[in-house]
Amino acid sequence: MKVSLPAWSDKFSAENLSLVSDGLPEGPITREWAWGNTSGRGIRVGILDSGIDGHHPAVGKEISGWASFYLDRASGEVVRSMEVHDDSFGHGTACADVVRRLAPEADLVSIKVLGSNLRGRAVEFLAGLDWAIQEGLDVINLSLGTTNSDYYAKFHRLTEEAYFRGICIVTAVNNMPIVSYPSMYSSAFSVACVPDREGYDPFEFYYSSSPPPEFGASGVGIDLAWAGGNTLSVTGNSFAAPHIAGLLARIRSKHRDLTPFQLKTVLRATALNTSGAEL
Amino acid sequence: MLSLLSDAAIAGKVFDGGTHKELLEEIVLMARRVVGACGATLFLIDLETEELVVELVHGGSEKELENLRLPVGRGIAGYVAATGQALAVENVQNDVRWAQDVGAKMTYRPDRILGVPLIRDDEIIGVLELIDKEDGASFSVDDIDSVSRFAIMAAIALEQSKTASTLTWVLRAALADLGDGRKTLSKVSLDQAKRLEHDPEHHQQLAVAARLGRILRAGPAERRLCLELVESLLAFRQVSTEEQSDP
Repeated sequence: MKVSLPAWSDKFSAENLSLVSDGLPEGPITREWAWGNTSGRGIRVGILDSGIDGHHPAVGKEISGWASFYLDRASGEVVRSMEVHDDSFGHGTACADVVRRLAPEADLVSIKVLGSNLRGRAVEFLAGLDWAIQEGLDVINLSLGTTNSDYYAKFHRLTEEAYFRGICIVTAVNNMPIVSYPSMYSSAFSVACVPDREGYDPFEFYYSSSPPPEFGASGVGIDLAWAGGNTLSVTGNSFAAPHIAGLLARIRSKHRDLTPFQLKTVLRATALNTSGAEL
Repeated sequence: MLSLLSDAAIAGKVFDGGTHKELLEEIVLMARRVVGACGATLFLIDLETEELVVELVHGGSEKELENLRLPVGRGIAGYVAATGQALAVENVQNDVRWAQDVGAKMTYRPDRILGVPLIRDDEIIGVLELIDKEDGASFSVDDIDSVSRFAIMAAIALEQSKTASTLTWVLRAALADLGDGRKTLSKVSLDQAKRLEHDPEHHQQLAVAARLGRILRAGPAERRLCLELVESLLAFRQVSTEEQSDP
């Protein structure tokens, strides 16, 4: 007699269960194993921000996709445009510059959700993130967040969906001592900037044993590309997050099968405070 | 946190006078004190036009900046409003975000600016800019943190002042909170602050405090009389501070 199994069990039935590789090395996880000799090629990184100045020399390789989202006041609907856009402030261009420093050959997709309007920011952000996930981008950088708790569940649903689909959502924690979403979710890679140390190294990052945030990277007084072909010395958690996004693009281009939780393991193993480098 | 807010509120009510303009003045003064800034500019957002409007200027260029309007995204304050992120800028005059045309009108040319957004329920309601430190130093990460924490409570006070005329007590709570380590101001704390507003017992305490405040401001004779009356009342009730603290 066939026993009926509880719901969801069929994923583990003999015909559905497949052999999977653990994707990890036999020896220790090292920086060389993780991202040595890679450039992010073949990995699509979404920058959800104020747009990207595609002509800026520091952005380098051509932007491979454009989407912008804005709230139409008349209809109350969020409208999507796939036209090439500019950067309203420079913030997105700076993030693109950081990602390219680590993953120069990654394909960048500019998803503009920050314009000059203040109303409807959370819905534009939500629509942009939803689109990026449905597009199946490999890494999505969010150097922004919402502090509006009314959106907690909506962003949580999307971040969880991304996690299970193998999409890394990298998100800066707020610069102010307040909670913002999705940076408080364990399924995201949350990042803050670390205090300025001797010399800038884009590969310098740390793991926090008391998250959130889970990771710390450079973000204090860095010279980065800005809108209009400019360069600016900037500080903020916003500029730490794309360091982790760029690093993930590198790792993913070499190790395609790793899931977000394995990628967190790799980052933890290669963080400077874990790998035994002198702090 | 709730008792801290309550105490601070009562103390605030006794000592403040309380118009909207005074609240703005107090926000700017307190923020300057937090980091030792030479000057400050407070912008509020006109949501209809999505512009920043200068409400108050301290430390030079008051006339030149009076009622100035900046589109969101323009200038350092516009950048802070657009991104919702605090920002410390060195070498302001050479920064691409600095609105050169506005800067050209100013009699005082700042070297360093620390801008923080005033955010209420995820909506940017204004920007507070602090200008140059008195000791000539750069704005530090700690300064950004302190002013940001202060700005959270200032934003609450500004919003509340639309419905209740005097809530500078929130600012005093903010200052008290600044001394409370580098703790995160959680949503819970903010919700507690909101809850306090609707607590009838708290309102009764505030009413008593407000009347006491009026007597204290009336003059030395009134203060003496008030003190005698309160002491008599306490003696009559046989209540002392020590007894109150006894279980």
